[in-house]
Amino acid sequence: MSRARSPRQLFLLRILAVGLATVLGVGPLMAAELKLDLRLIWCTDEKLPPDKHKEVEPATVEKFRKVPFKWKYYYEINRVTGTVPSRGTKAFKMSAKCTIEITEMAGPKVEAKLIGEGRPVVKATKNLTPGEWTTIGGDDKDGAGWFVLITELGEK
Amino acid sequence: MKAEQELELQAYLDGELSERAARRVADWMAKDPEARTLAAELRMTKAALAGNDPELAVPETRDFYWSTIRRAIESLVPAEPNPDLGWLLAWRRYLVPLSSLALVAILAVGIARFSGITGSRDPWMNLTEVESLSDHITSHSFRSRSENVFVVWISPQDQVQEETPATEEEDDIVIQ
Amino acid sequence: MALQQNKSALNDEKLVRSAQRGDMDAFEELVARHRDKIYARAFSMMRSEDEALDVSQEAWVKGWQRLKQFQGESSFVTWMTRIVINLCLDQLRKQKRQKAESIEQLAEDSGGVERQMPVVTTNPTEGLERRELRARIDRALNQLSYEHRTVLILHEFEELEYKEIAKRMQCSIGTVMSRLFYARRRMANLLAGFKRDELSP
Repeated sequence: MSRARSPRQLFLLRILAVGLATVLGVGPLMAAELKLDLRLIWCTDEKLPPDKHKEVEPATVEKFRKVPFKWKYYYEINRVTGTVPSRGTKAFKMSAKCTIEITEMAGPKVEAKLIGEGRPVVKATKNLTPGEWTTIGGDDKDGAGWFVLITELGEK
Repeated sequence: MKAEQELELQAYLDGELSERAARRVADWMAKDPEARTLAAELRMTKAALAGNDPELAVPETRDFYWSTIRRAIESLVPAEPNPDLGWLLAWRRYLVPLSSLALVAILAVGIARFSGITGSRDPWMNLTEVESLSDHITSHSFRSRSENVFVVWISPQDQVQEETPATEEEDDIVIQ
Repeated sequence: MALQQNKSALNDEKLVRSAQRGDMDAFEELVARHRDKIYARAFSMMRSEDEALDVSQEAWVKGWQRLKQFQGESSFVTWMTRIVINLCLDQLRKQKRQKAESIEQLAEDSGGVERQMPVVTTNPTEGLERRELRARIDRALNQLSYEHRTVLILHEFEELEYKEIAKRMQCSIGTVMSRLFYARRRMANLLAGFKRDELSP
């Protein structure tokens, strides 16, 4: 197996690659599947009957309140987990009207696109930051709100 | 021997068959010399490979190999929290109840400006782009550094945004 | 040097715990300890020294990023091996090495070529020293397409089940089975060929 470059050339190329990557804000290629957990949350100041509405766990609600989301109650409407293939796209259907499309891009970047009633609404492209939660949402009627909470599941 | 039979024979040797299917294959092998010959070759290849994964050493010194890894790890360190941004959010929290108004945005795209204030080691590290894809929607975004949550919020384009009631002492801060 | 000696006396579990708390010296010791194995796995799949170096170093960086999620369900080196395998698979898919594999791919696609290979009845590895056997296996792996090589590596060396291989290679279990069958038959014939070459005048 012949090497195309001398060790010194390789060393210099790598320094350049890492330097460029840092300047461009794109870290070393982190090609891998992306395992995600998505929860559709509805937020309101009105307490709903517990037998029909699943309340979000208190620790998570506490975090929401510090963001700061100001609603009193948070209910999980749907939860979907899935894997986005490397350099690929996966659609997560959260409800009849709401789909989140996640694309795993070069470097540690992902694109999250909200599709409402079949039409693209908003797109966010960002670095994956360890432990960071991402939410995409909007207001609903009567002062309520909704959002999709996106978190990364651990590598196996 | 049919292709399906060959694959089933392989699956039998690999322990991938149910008990019932395994018994059926074992019975067939006992009667078919061709199957036994093929099974012997497959077993021989398995035995030759088992534990004989080719071994190789990294063709670089320990220090050199590690130095590339260390540099890459160091470039991953997230930016320091932005105390100015936190103050701004706290002020907005006081004046703008989220449940009744569209969230006043701090565009994450502008984070380079704030990063400059904090002296973040890498102002580009958390560069984010948020783009509205509909003419009827406005989007806003911000990052809660204390909670490590990034928020994108959408609202209808024609929604009237209430003026923030500025106090007599403070001027309204214009955020772009 | 005193610090290095201190770390080298610790087992993997202690080093991982230390590294999870941000101790980069502990992580460096883990890298030093297991770099050859991770690199060897990368090379076995990528078949290029430069690419294996790059992918193995990426794997270590990713391992650092994900370290807090390592709970000890497997050994640390097994966990790192899974990371480097996934990165290799991503890279190979991205590169789409169609050119190098065109002949192999045709052989697979045409279906049944492996059935034309004679069955090897004499053990071609008998009497070989381990080092020589490993060298021949490596030579034979180099002659397989990346898909056949990968399925063989994942099944024979990583001991993954068909289902797990199918998931990682993003194909059906049936495809895994037929690729594995072809790879094994080809491996047997290649090893027999090397033996014949050795014995011929």
